[in-house]
Amino acid sequence: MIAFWTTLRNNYKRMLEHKSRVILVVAMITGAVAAAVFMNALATDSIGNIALVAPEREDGLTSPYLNVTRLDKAPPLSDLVSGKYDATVIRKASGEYEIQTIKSDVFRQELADLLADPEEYQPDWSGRRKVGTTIVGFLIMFILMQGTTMMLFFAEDREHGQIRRVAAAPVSFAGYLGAHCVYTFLILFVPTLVILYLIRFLTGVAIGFSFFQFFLLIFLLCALSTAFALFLDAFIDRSDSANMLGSMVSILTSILAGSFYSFDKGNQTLEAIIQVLPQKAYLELAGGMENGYSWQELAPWFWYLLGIILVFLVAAVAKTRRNYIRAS
Amino acid sequence: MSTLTMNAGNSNTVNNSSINASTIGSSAMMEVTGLRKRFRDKEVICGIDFQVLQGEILCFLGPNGAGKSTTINIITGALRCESGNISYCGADIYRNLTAYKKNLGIVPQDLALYEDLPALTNVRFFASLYGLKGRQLDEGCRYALEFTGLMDRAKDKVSTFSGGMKRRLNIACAIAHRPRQLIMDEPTVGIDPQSRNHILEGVRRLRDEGMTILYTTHYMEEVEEIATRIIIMDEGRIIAEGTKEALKAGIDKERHYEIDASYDECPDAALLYQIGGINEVAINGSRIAIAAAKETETLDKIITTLIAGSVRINAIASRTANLETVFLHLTGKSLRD
Amino acid sequence: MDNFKKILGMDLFNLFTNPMWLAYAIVFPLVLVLVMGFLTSASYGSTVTSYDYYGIAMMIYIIFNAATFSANGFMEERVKNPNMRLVYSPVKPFFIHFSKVLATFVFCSVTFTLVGAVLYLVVGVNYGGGYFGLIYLLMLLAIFFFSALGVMVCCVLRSENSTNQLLSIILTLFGVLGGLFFPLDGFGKAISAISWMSPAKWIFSACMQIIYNRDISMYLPACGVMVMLSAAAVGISAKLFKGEDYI
Repeated sequence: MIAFWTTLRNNYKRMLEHKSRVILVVAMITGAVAAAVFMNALATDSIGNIALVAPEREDGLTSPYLNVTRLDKAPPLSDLVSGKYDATVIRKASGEYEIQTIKSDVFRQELADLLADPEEYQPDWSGRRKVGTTIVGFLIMFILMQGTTMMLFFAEDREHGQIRRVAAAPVSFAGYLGAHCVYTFLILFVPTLVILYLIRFLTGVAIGFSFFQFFLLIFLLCALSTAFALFLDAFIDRSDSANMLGSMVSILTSILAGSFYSFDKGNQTLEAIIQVLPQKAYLELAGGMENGYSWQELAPWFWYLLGIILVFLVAAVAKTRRNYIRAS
Repeated sequence: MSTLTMNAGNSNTVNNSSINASTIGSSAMMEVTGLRKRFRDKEVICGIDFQVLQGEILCFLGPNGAGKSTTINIITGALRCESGNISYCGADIYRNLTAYKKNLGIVPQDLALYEDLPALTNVRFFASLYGLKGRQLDEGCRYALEFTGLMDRAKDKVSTFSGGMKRRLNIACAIAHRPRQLIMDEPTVGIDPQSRNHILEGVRRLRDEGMTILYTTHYMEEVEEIATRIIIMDEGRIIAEGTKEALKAGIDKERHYEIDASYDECPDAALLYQIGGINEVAINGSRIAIAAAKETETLDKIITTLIAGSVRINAIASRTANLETVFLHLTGKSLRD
Repeated sequence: MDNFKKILGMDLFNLFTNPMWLAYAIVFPLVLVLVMGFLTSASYGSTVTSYDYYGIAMMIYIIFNAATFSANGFMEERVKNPNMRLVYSPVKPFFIHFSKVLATFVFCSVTFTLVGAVLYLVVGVNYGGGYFGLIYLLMLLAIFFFSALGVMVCCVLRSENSTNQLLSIILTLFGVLGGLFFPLDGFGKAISAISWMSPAKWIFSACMQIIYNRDISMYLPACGVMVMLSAAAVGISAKLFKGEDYI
C-alpha cells in the first residue's frame, strides 16, 4: 500500500508541475463531450439532405424526414460527393421527381418512397442507434486515444529509469503499477463524467442514459482505456512510439467496431474480427442498456469487457515484472 | 576533503609536470567584460570579467549552480546575455557569430549524439558542419576517433557504447575540425576512473598541440590535475582567479595532522603545545588533530612526545591546502554542498 | 547552403529510419482508407465509390500528420541533444528549424505519393484524371503547410509534450470543421461558415470541385491560402526560434 499511495501522491505532484497539460486535457475532454452531445442533438431526424430543383417555388414538398434546400439549378456533382447533399431531386413539369444520387440503390428507393407519399412515409429505424449510445460511441475513440497520452508518467518512469528505483525498493510493484492506473483512470473519468453532467444540467439536452448508467459506461470505457495504455507502455519502450501505435490502433478499431456509424455487414472474416473488438462489446452493452435489456441479456458483454481489461492489465504487469523485478 | 597519507607524498600534483607553462601565451585570446545574465527574476551571472589566454587550460571551478555552464554557453554564442562584451582576437563575437563559432569546439554537458548512428557517422556529420570536406574530413574524423581511442569501434552504433565511450565520442565530435579553442562543460560527469583519466590525459595532449581549453567542473581533483589557471565561481560571481599555486599560497600557512591513536591515559595537550610551531591541538577520543606552522618541522617531535606519554599511534595523516580548502576559505562552504 | 544540405540529410535519415513513423505514414493511412471505404461501400452507388470519397477525405486527414512528424523530429528526446550541437556550430539558426520543415515535407510527400499510388492501383480512387497534376500540387502545398505548422507550434510552446497535445486538438478540429469525417452542411449556416476557417475545408472543396465538376475556380484561392499560411508559419518560427531553448 505504501507504493500505491506514494506513487499516486507523486503523480499528483508531477501533474501540478504541468498545469498547462491538465488544462489542455480538460479542454479536450470538454470539447469532445460537447461535440458528442451537441452534434447528436443538432442532427435532425432526416434520412438525408436533398437539393430540390423545381420550376415553381411552392412545390408543396415537406416532410419531417427530409432536409430540403431549394435551388434554381442542380448542384454540381462535387456537392454530392462531399456529402453536402445526399441527392438532387428535380421536379419535372409533369410532377414526377427525378433523383440523382451517388448513394446506393437502397437509399434511392427509400427517397423515392418518401417522395411518392411524403405525408404517410415512415422510415424503417428499427436498428437505429439511440442518443445515449451515439454519444458514448463518439467518445470511445477519443477516450482510448487520451489514455495513452495520460499514462505519460509511467512511460516517463520507464524511459528515464526511475522505475528501476521502484523495482529495487522494498515495496509492492503491483501497488506502483496500480497507482499509475488509478491516476490515469481518474484523470479521464472525473472530467468526462462531470462535464457530461454539467452539460446535461445546464442545457437540458438529452443524453439518453440515467446518471448511474452513464457512470457505469464511462467507468468501463476509462478502465479499458487505462488498461490498454498500460499494456502499450509495458510492451513498447519509447513513449512516442507507444502513443503513435495507440492512436493508430484506437482509430482503426473504433471505426471498425462501428463507434461512429453502424455499418452494413461486411464480409465474414471482417465480421469475425469486429466481434472480438472490445469496442463492439461496449457498443452492444450501451445499446442494450438504452433499449432496456435485462441484466441477463447484458451480462455477456459486460463480462467480456471486464475480461479484456483484465487481460491487458495482467499482461502489462507480468511483462513489467519480468523486465524489472526478475532482471534487477 | 582530500587527505593524503604521510608516505604517499603530495599525489595531487604528480601530473603537473607534464604541463609546460612556457607555451602559454601572454596575449588574451578572448576578453569578457561586465557579463550579466538573468533567468526570470534571478540574476545568475552578476557582472563578471575575465580573459582567456592563448594556449592555456582555464578551469572554471565551482559548486553546481555557480554559473559555470551559463558562462560557457554565453561564450559559445548560443545563449544571449543581458549585458557585457565578449571579444575574440579583438573583435566582438556577435559581429560575425558564424565565423567566430568556426574557431570553437564544444563538448556539451549532455551527450549530444545520434544514438542510432555509428560513431564515425556522428563525427563526420558534426565535423562537416564546420566546413570540412573530402580528405580533410576523413583525416579529421580519423584524428578525432584515434585521439579518443574509439577507432576500433568507429562503425558501431552509439547505442551499444558504454557511458565512458559515449563521453569520449562526445569529445571526438568536438575536435575533428581541430578548433583553436575547445570548450568542455563537465565532460567527465558520471564515468569510470579509467575513462576519466583517458579524458584528462587527452585534454593535456590537446593543449600541447596548441589548443586553448576552457574546462568547467566541480571536481577539484581534475582542476588540480590539468589547470594552468583557475577561475573559482560561486553564485554567479568570480571569487578568485589565478594559478593553483597562487590560489593556495594565500591560505597555505598551516599543515594539519590527524592522528589515530589508542591510549590508557589521555595525552596532555599542554605537552604538545610546548613543541615550537604548534598552533592548535584538539583531542577527541582516539582522534588527535594538530595544526602546526608550515615552516617548522614538527612531526618528529609530535610523535616522540606522544610515544613518551605511552600513546600507541595507529595512523597519521597530513593535509595541506588544496582547492577545496581554498573554496572553503573563500566562501565558508564546501564545493559539494 | 552546404551546411543546410547536411542537416537536411541527417533529418531525412532520422525520419526514414524510424519504423514506427514509417508505419504511421504508410500502413496506417492505407488501412484507414481501405477499412473506411470497405465498411461504407454498401451505402454508395457505382458512379462514385466510397473509396473515391475516403481516398480524398482521409488522405487530407493523413496530411495533418506532417505536423506531428515535424514537431517530433524537432523536439523528440532522441534528436534534441544532437540538435543542441547544431546550435553551437557555425550554422544559421534558420537552417536548424527550416531543415525540419523541409525534411518532413520530403518524407510525407514520398509516403503520401506511395499510399496514393497503391490506393489508385488497388481500389481505383478517382484523383481527377487529367487534372491529377493540380490535385497533387495542392496536396504537396498542404503537406508543406502542415510540416511548417508542427515546427511553428514547437517554437511557440517549446515543449514536445504540450506541442503534441495542442496539435492533436488543432488537427482534430481542422478535420471535423473541414468535413473530413462527416459533412457539416446539415448543421446550419453558422457552422458551415465557421468551417472555412479550417485549411482542410479549402483543400477538400477545391479537390472535390476539380475532380467532379472540372471547376478550377477554387484552386488558386486554395493554393494561395496554403502558401500564405506556410509563409506565416515559417516566418513565425524564424521569429520565435531560440537556440538557447535547446540548452
